[in-house]
Amino acid sequence: MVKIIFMPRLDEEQEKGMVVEWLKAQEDTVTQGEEIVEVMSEKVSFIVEASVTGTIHKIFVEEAEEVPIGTTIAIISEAEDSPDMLEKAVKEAEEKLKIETPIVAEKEEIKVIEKEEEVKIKPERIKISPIAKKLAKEHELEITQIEGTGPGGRIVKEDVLRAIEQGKIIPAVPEEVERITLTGVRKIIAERMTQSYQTAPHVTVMMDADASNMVKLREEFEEKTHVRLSYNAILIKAVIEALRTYKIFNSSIEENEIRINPNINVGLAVTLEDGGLIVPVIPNADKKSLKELNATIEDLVEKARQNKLSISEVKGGTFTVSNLGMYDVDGFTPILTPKQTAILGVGRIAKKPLVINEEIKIKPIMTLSLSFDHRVVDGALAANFLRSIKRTLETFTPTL
Amino acid sequence: MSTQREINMADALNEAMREEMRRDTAVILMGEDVGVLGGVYGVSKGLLDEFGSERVRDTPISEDGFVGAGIGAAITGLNPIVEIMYPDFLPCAMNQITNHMAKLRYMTGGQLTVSLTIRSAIIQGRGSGADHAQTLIPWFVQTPGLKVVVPSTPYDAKGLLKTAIRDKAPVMFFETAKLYLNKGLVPEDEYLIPFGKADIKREGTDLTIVAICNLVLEALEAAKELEKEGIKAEVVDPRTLVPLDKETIINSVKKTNRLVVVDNNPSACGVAAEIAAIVAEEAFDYLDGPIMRVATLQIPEPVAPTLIKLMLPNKEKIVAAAKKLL
Repeated sequence: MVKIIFMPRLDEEQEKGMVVEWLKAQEDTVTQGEEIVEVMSEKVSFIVEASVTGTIHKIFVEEAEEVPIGTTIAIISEAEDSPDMLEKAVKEAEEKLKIETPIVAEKEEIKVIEKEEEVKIKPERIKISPIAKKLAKEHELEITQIEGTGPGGRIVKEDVLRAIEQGKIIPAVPEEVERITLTGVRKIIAERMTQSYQTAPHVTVMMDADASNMVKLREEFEEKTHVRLSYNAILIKAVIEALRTYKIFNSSIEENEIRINPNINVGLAVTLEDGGLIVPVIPNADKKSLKELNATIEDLVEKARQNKLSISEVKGGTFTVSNLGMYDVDGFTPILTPKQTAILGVGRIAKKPLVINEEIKIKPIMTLSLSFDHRVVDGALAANFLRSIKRTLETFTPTL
Repeated sequence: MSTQREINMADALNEAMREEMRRDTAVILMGEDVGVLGGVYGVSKGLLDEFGSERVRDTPISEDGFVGAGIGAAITGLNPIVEIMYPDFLPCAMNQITNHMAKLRYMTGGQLTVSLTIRSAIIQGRGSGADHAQTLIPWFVQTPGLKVVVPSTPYDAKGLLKTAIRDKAPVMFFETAKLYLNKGLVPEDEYLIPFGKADIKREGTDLTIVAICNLVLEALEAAKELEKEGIKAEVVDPRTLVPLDKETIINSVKKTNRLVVVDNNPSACGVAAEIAAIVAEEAFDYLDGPIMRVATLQIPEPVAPTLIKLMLPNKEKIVAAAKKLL
């Protein structure tokens, strides 16, 4: 029977193989298991052995020639093979080779183009050390852009650090960025908030308060005095009550000591129309009645909005209240005014279901968010302080 | 602060045994030439005179026998130190060591305790022939149940030997004859060095070199050489291989990002191989290059000094390995 020797597949991704050397010539007799031809792929070489005993009838592929996997490279005839059978096999093999050769050539051309494109998009495996890779990932650097100076061109830690330093490979920033230089109030806010947030370990605790009492208080106040009562006045009053008990929240931390301030000067964050923020301070707020507080607040807020606050009116705060209720905010995490120990964030008053004695009641609810400096106080104490404010808000009936 | 004086490692080891034998009458010493001769390097000199032939026993050349006797003595309540002159002779007693000394406590569920310390002096690189040149340390690191100690300085040797003698577990204590005459500061007062605590022999930021026994000194020399080129090498001496202070090694690599491990054994399945594998597993993301091993060649030690130099790790080879990483 005519035995066909094909170009074998040596690797997974191999498409073509090359004849390296014919160890037998045409017309040579071979015995089963005898080495006939050495072939190779891009990676490995292999010696094809005769699978039968017979004669090498014809060799189709010359040394150093490359052909696709599965191409007939030679035919071995056995003693009983008829000339017809052999002729047929040779013809088939030659025809196939004719068809395939041009196709191979074409394929090759296409392949070359593809390869060139590939080089552009997907370069060879980049040598990079584990820590360099980790650092590059952390800084979102594209490693193809980093030059490797380690052994064998490996990208090492130093290369990544240099790239970070130079900042040349910072992820692409869109060209059309609108740039606003930090000046004036914005700059001061930026500096103070950064300073505060980086120095004081902030923790925020939140608690809901029933605002029914506040709403009632406001109505009564307005009925009696015909003056609008700011919720901030009530809140500050409640804060003052709590500060009398929990003096530590009226402190500032400086170097290695906590200084408890003898006076309670409450600041109130006021949003300015141009988007800025200013905190006028009510000095000795604890000495004022609700009515006086209300008037002072109105005065300070008005001055703030008109940009008419004097320096003395924004200095010396010992505690801050920041109310975002009018913007539909519930809870948030305020940042401390630098050096102060706590700040109370106030949310909106919204009607919400509340469970009282196994019954659902609809109540006006206000969320209180207290941020504090964890260097000075701990969570449980902050919770007690906040609960004290909540209870005051829910129950007190101050003299006007 | 206790006063310190400069003594050599042989004297430091002698003090360790003397102090422990004075402290506890259960501590005895057995081995070839440990008594009348005081040890071939004088490590046990004077012990026979002070403690008598009951407690300091010269043995015949029969390692299997006297290691077995040591195990028996340990089981029955003594706290023996057995000296095997050179590690090359440990294979004679290997059945006793691997199957009995290391396993008895475990196999009896703690009913038997083998508080036995085997001391042995490495004479690698001396040109005494391939059968007087091995450490065989990895054999014992790979034998669960044994602790393995590899000191490099007089201070470490004394503190660690005292800990070894007191340890309830069997301990393999590898001394290096080449280091016996090296001097170092040792406190007058008693001290112990706990097992499993590596010592940073030199601090550095660019590269970590882990080495054991006399190779710690080669590593320190290599570090000096590297310093000339502005490379700051940190030299870590694990001091005990079982237990191994992985933390110190890993923290050092986290700092330097580069590791060279120096071993007085062949690289295959050796001490350096194990340390390299641990770092590859546990600190991969911190490596800035491959981990380099500087170990002995996988050949029996030659006798010719020129060939010995080719076979064993030394300062030059450590420097060369370090430079491949920088």
